[in-house]
Amino acid sequence: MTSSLGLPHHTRRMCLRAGAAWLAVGSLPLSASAMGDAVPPITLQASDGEPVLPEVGPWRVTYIDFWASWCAPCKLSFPWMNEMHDKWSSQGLRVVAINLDRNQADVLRFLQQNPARFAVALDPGAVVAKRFDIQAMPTSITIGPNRAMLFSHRGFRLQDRQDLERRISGALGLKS
Amino acid sequence: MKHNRRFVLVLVIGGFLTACSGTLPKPWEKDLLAKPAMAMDSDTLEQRFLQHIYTSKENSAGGASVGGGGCGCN
Repeated sequence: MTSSLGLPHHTRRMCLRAGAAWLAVGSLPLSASAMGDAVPPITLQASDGEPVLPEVGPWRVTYIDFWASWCAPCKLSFPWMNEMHDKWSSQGLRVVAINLDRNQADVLRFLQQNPARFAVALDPGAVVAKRFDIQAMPTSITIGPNRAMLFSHRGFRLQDRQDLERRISGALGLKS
Repeated sequence: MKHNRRFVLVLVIGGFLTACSGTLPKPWEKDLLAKPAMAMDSDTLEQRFLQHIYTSKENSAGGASVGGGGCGCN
C-alpha cells in the first residue's frame, strides 16, 4: 500500500509524526522556570556591588526587571520601581534591573535621563535573559526565599502597578 | 523511484518555506526595529486620524496595525 507520494503509508506517517514533533519541540521555551521552582543562581554583578540574586543578605524577595533603553514601557516602569525600592527595601525587597542593551552608551544616556535608585546590572550578551527565556520587553520575575520563582510579569502598563504591588506585598508578607 | 524523488522535492520545498520561521528575533534584539526610522508611517497621529475616517466610512475597525514599537510588550 503506497501513498500518493509513492511512499508506504507507515513511512509517510512516520515522517509526519517526526515533523510534528520537531515543530512542537521547536516552539517550546528553552529553559523557562515554572512557578515555585528554584531558579538558577544569578552571579551577574549589579551596580550596588552585590550579585543580582545574592545567596546571603537582608532581602527576602527580589524583583528582577529585564529592560532596554529603547523600550518605552521600560521607561514608564522606572519611576514605579524607584517607588517600590523606597517603599519596601527596608522590608526585604531587592529591586534589580538587568539591562540588555548591546551599546553601553545608550544605557548611560537612559540612566542620566531616568535615574535609578535601585540596583542595575548589565547583561549585553543576554546570558541571563536567555536562561529565563524572556519573551517580551520589559519582563519582570519575582523571586522569594530559597530562590523560588514566585511570579513573572510581561510588559508594563500603568494599570499593572496595583496588581504588582499587591503581589509583591503578599510575597513580603505585608498587609496591603 | 519517481515517487521518491517527488517526496524529496516536497520536503526540500517545505524546508525552504519554513527555514526562516524558527529564527524570530528575541525581544532584546529588537532595538533597531524600535527606532523611529523603522516606523511604517511618519506621523502616528495623522495615521490614527486617517484610520479613524477609514473605519468610520467602512463601518469596521481593527486589523490595520499591530501594537507596540517592536519591543514585544503590547
